[in-house]
Amino acid sequence: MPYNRCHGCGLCTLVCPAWQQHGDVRETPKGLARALQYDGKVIAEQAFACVLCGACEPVCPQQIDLIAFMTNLRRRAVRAGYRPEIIKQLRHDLAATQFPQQEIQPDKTLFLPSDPLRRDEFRMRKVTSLLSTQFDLQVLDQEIGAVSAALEAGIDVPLTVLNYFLAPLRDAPLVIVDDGLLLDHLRIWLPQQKFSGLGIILSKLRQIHAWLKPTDLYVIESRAFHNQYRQALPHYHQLQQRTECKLNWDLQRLAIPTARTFTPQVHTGHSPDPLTQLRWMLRFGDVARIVVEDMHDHALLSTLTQKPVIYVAELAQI
Amino acid sequence: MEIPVIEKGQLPPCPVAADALQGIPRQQTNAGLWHGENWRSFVGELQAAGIEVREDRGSRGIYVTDAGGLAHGLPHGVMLAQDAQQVAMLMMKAQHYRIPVTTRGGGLTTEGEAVAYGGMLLDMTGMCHLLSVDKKALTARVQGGMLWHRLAELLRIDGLDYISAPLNLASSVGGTLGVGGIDVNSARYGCSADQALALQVVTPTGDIVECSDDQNVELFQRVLLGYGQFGIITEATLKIRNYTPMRMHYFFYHSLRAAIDDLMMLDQRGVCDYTGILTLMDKAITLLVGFDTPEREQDFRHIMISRLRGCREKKFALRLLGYYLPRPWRWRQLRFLLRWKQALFPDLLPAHHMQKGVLHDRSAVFSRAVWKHWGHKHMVIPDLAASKEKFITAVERGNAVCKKYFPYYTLYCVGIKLRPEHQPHYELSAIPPDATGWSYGCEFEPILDDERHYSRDYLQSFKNAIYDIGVDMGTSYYRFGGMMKAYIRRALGDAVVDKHLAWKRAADPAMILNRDVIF
Repeated sequence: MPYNRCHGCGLCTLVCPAWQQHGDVRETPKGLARALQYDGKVIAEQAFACVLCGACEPVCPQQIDLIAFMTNLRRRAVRAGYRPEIIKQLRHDLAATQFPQQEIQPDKTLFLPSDPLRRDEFRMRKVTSLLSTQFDLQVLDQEIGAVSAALEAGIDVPLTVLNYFLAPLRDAPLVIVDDGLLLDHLRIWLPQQKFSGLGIILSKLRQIHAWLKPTDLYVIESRAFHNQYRQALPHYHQLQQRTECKLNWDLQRLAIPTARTFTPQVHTGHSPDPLTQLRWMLRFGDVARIVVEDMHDHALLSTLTQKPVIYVAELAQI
Repeated sequence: MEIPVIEKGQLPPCPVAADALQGIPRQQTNAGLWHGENWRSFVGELQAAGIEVREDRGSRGIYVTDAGGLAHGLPHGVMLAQDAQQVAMLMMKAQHYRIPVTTRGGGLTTEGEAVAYGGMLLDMTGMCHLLSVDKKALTARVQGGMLWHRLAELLRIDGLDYISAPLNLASSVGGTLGVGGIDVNSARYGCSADQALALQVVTPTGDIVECSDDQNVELFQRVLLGYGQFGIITEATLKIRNYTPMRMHYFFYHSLRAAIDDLMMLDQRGVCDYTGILTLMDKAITLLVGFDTPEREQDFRHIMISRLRGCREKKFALRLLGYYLPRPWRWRQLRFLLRWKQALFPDLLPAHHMQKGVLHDRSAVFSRAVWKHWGHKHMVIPDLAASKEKFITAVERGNAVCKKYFPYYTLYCVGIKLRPEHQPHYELSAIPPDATGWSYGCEFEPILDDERHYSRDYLQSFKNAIYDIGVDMGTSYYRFGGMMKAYIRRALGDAVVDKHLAWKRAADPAMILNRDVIF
């Protein structure tokens, strides 16, 4: 099992937002892995304190897939009856998800937007216009929220649902995914397929980064960033050098997560608090505006701060 | 709710040290297993005082071993430290019921010093707060469980930094001050313990005492570099400094002796802010020098570079080829050197930590590189800490031992500037008694991988062979506690050990705090 490879170095602990806020090693990947190595079982609530930000993965010297480790633990907890009422509702939402039969045009880059972006006509139009300047684009008209929530809560996605969901993605030359957790899973489900997060693509566009200012806090979506860390790190480093904007990263060049989740109801009281996370991001002061890559983060941060919070695509003057 | 068992973990059911370490020859010291007398009454009193004691196997199993991965032991219970009062209560009750208490920060010991063989494990990382910063006086007050990485993050908000800390930043402030703490700038600033100005200590009998050079001086002297024997550091006032990025240079050597000579020469002249030697076997010896300011770097370029016997990378590569080309039977070693060089050096100067040729956040960079390239389930790092007069010989003899035991290994050498006024702290510590001016340490670390398995006996024999050099030459060790504690008397003599033992008995009548680490 992957957790058997953990040597207990504790680097994951240093970057874990749950540990930073609560100081309880039992809720960190190291704590869970060490407990499993010794005992073979852990307390479910500890596995649900994690917000799956993925900061622990790039620092793990053993290269353990820690997101898979966490979600596997959750699946075991759910199978054993963890929070049955909430899980039942999430399963119901997943079953109710529609998979429209959309004609997929060959050789087109597919774009899989998050649900809040799909519902926001103005911002959605901005994003598709921007992407269309770079790609021969087709937007996949597909709800993904219930799938993401199921993955986060440790619910097994039924094979039939998965097949419907993955079918249109199989032949596209590139799929742009607006959801970091889904991106992580898609890479496992379709290992031959080429995927990218939306944030990194948008922030590479001159129409975007030309408008970033030194007083901006640019909030990288942590799940997607850590999932494509090797490619994303040089890009964001350059972005910071070029624009002098502030990034939500720490001394290790890992993204400080906003700690938002799709399924707050399954998380325990020990999950990191988003307001504390935001304060940590703003620790250097001198921030006039917050630019976010993710619409969920946009909704969350807008409620937590008086500073203007704008979605990354809104930077473009188009 | 417990997540049910699907498969068992990799550790045996009860790998306690006394049984697990049998059969290891010579100077192996097995810690005694404590069997739980009065445990329930003790826990009952703590719980009545509102203190949580974790007794489930999962919570205890987290602490079953340390970074060394060779000593295994299980506490009866775990307490996550929250404040000094709670720790004081623990010690008072533990003294009364004679319950062993093992303190643990990052758990990065290698000889089982942070492993509990029964009794209570006190996890200090619950006390990980920066309490105050004095920007004018450049001091910071931190809790004892503060991890160095966290401290670096918090100080950076004000453009500040700690002065020196171990390259492994998952270690705690309290644990580090108890053993010394060596950084690549220790030849300039001293060890981490030298940066402590004052401490709040919970004594083994449960008193909360503030100590410094002016207040409770004896306690201060004993707790710093005291291997956790005389109290638990719950708060520390540290000297700090303004943050500066690092300008790094590498020089390559063929000869250990030449590299060490140059290292000592640079340290004595005080021309560098950071110095250290890192080797791949004794074939590729790298002298690392670094600077805090462009002016210091410039001075070094003008005055010192021409005096160094090492060369730059390209010239060294040509020399290396000259050595290996006529020796095809050693090409495998050459391939290994090249592979390591290609993997390691980019991680020591990663592009995303560089700005205009200067390295930022060296602490994070080095810490990750250490674990990525040296991390293994067994961290075997015997060392020798010697006066500068004995150091070269000690390293050469240790190098010969490494060659005998392992095909691939690294040496890491660094100096510590000694402070005459801190002499009382240094007694019975990694600082050898005959060192003046500087003390030098060398870590001898085999490069272990999953393909080649070494038995625990073999690894222990290697450590013994290195430590025997120390006995023979009269040096000290960074890691002389835990499993290696039998060497303390052999290397440092009965008189000094018995003096400290008498102090320990007076301070800790039940001998419960971090037992089997030193005494």
